[in-house]
Amino acid sequence: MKLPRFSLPGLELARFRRATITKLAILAVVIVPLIYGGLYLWSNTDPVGRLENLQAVVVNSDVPATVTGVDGSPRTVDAGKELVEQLTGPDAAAGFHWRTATEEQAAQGLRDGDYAAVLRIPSGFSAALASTGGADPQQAKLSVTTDDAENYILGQVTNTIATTIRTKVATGATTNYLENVYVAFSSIHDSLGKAADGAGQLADGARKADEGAGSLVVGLGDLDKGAAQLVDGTGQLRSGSAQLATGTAKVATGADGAATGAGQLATGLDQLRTATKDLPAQTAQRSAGASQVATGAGRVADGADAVAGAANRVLPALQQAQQLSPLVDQLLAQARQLSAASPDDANLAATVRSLEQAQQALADGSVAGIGQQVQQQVGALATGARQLSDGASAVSTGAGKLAAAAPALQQGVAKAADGADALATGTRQLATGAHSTADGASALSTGAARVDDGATALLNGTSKAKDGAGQLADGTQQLADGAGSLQSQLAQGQGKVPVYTGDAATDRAGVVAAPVAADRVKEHAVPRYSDGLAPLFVPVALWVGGMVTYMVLRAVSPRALASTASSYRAAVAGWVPGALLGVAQAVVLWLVLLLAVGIASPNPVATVAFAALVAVVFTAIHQCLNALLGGVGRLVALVLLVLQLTSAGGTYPVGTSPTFFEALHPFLPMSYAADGLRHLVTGAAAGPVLLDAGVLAAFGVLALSVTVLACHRRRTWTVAKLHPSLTL
Amino acid sequence: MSDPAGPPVVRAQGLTLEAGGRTVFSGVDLDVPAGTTLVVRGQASAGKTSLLLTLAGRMKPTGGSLTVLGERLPEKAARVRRRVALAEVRGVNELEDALTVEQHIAERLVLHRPWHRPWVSGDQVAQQLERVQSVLDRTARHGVQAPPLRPREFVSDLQPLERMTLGVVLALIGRPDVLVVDDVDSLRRSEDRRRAWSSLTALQETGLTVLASCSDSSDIPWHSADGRILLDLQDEQ
Repeated sequence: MKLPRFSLPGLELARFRRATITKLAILAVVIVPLIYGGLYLWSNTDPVGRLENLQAVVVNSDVPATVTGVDGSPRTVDAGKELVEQLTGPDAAAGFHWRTATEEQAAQGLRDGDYAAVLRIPSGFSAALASTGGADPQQAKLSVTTDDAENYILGQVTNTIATTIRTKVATGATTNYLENVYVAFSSIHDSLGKAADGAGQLADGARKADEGAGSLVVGLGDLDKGAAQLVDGTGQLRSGSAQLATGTAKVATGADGAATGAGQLATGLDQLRTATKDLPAQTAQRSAGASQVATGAGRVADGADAVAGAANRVLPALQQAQQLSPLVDQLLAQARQLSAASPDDANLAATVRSLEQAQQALADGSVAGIGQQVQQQVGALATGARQLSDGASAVSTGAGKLAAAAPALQQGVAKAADGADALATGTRQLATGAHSTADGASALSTGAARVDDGATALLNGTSKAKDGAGQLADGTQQLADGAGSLQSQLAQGQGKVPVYTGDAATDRAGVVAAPVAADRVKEHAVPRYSDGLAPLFVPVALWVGGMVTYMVLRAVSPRALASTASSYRAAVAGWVPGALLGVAQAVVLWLVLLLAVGIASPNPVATVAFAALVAVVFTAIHQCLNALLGGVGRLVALVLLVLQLTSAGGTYPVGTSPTFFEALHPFLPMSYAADGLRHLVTGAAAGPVLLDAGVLAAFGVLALSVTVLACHRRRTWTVAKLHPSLTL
Repeated sequence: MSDPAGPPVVRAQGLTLEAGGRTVFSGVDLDVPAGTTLVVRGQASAGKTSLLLTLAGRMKPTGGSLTVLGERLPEKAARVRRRVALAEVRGVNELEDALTVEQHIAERLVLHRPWHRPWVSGDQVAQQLERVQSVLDRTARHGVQAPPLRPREFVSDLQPLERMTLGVVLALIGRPDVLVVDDVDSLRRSEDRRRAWSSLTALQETGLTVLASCSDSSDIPWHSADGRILLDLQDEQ
């Protein structure tokens, strides 16, 4: 059983096992990177996160301002006070530990270095903020003061904090303003909706108006016909009323006559009344007389018949009228007697007159013609006598009746007289009324003429109205069409105007007010400053560790060089102990960083393994430099450390460095060590890590190869080496 | 075994080394057969160590010709170095005070193993120690009692003769053809010096050629059959 009890690294390190101080030296070598990297990264764990340990003060000179809100109600903006409350509140998260102070305290504290920064809120701050929604927006200004004499970096950090505060405040103010805008959008939207509704109602109304206009056209046609008929009628009315006026005028004249007549009638009837006062008595007498007359009349009749007969016989004689004259005279005498006997008998009187005419006629020689007349007259006489006789009989009868009725007659006459009086009165009134009527009719006639004129004018008017209504109907049709279009266009317009209310308006206002989101997205973000620094400082620490390792260890054992063993064995014999120490350094450093300092890595095992690879490669490089250059190699290592610190791109990207460092970057191993560790600490893709590891391994192989060559060379001594005049 | 008729292990003609404007040695003519001991004698700073290192292929001569083990130097120095072993030479390969005898032996054993087997077991070290003891026993048969090596002894605690012995033993682990031992009479006690020389003579029996140096050769027990060659280096003035 061959136990691996002795190995070159073990034997190299066994040199240090004998004494406590040399054991401590090895321990020191192991923890040098830890001291270097651990302490540095520990102190830089989260410098920005502990800004709250620094005191800063805010001086508020702001005066609240009044602004009109979205709903039109006034509200008070006290942005200065709000900002102070934000900064000094329990969950401020505003960088420093803020508190309020007066201007004097602030200035003094900044000079004395008590305060890291002073934030001044000017008196017009709220007014300026409130003005952003008004007609004359003003920029609200804050002032942050720091003292670079105290700390320059702090000034830079404060700039960032100031920007954050300014952005916060500005966004809030602009949001208020834009909120108004968006709510106004909604008002416009609603108004357009109402306008569209109104246009719809207008369109409906216009359609009805159009229908009405159609009806109006029809109605006006009817009206026109009616007006024509009216004109005919009023023409008739005109002529009729004119006739009426004429007629009524005549009626009035007639009525006057009637009134006169009625008055005379009344007078006459009054006389009649007077006259008939004795009538009953007379009539009684007359009745008796009438009977006698009747008797006499009978006789007359008989006589007349006799006359007639005689006449008929006489008649031819009449041709010789002269001959008849005595007879006529006789007859006349007899007729006069009869007439005297019956003075009231008209026939007799007439006969008398006829006879007298006949006598006259006979007398003036015209009997020739009269004969005929006589015959006729005699015939008539006979007829008349008979009639007289009948009449007398009837008179007699009538007289009897008259006598009987005479009282009634008297009374009737009285009544008639009374009635005639009334009649006279009435007719007078009638005459008066007829005059009025005539006047009225005259006026009526005049009016009717005007009516006719009016009706004619109306007819003209209705014709025009008809034409106009036709045009109206056309117009209302267009109006209805137009109103419909208006409604649809308004509805479309309303659809295009957005609605923003409440949270939506607030959200949009926020978006527009801060179009570039303030959120900072970081890929593979490291939680703290130290995590960001670790990928640079771990390799730096391991580089320093490698330097220290080969200050304690010999790069190559001189016994190995002087031995008959091969050079590569001698090289490996010098490298492996250093490599083991490097691994120990890397593991200890990372364990402390992970467990104590709290640097995070999503893949700690790979991180530690990569760091160990870095340490192994670095020790190979340091061994190479020492083997090749001896003590000068340590100086070169120191120069390389500075070059790599500046060109590895561990903090700022190497592109931000001058071209010299950028050009150097790919040729130095720490560039790849820092890159690989950065990917491992941040948990990025494995590809770059493997690439970095490959490049680092190549660096290691190269260094070992050079070490072998150096060993080969160092196996030949010189007199100077044998008796060195300078020992480094 | 030695073959006096064979070609010389070291042949030098007019060998010269100059460094830093001064001549370390010059005009050295040598013909050292195998199985013999070359004793280089000279004052301090007479160039003894430099000559030995030159002969061992570890230093470049500036003049003359040199052939070691049939190889021309300095062209074939690497070949020569593999076959010429150095015992402890001050300023070149000092032993480590803080390591033990056993650890030194282990170290040398590992150096001669292939790279993929970079360690040795305790057994292997013990075997090597046995071999060392057998060599020492052989010198004892020549009447020279070399001190036994105590494996756990730190080098700093060794007696000067023990330390020289350890250096020689370590050199022999690589099974060289030539052994270089510098400054043998640095041993303070004359008894030690005598034992050292005798031991080196005994080693010749294995066919080893020994190149040694001293400033005073009075302690060397001279016998005609010892096969020693003495080279006096003149102190350059």
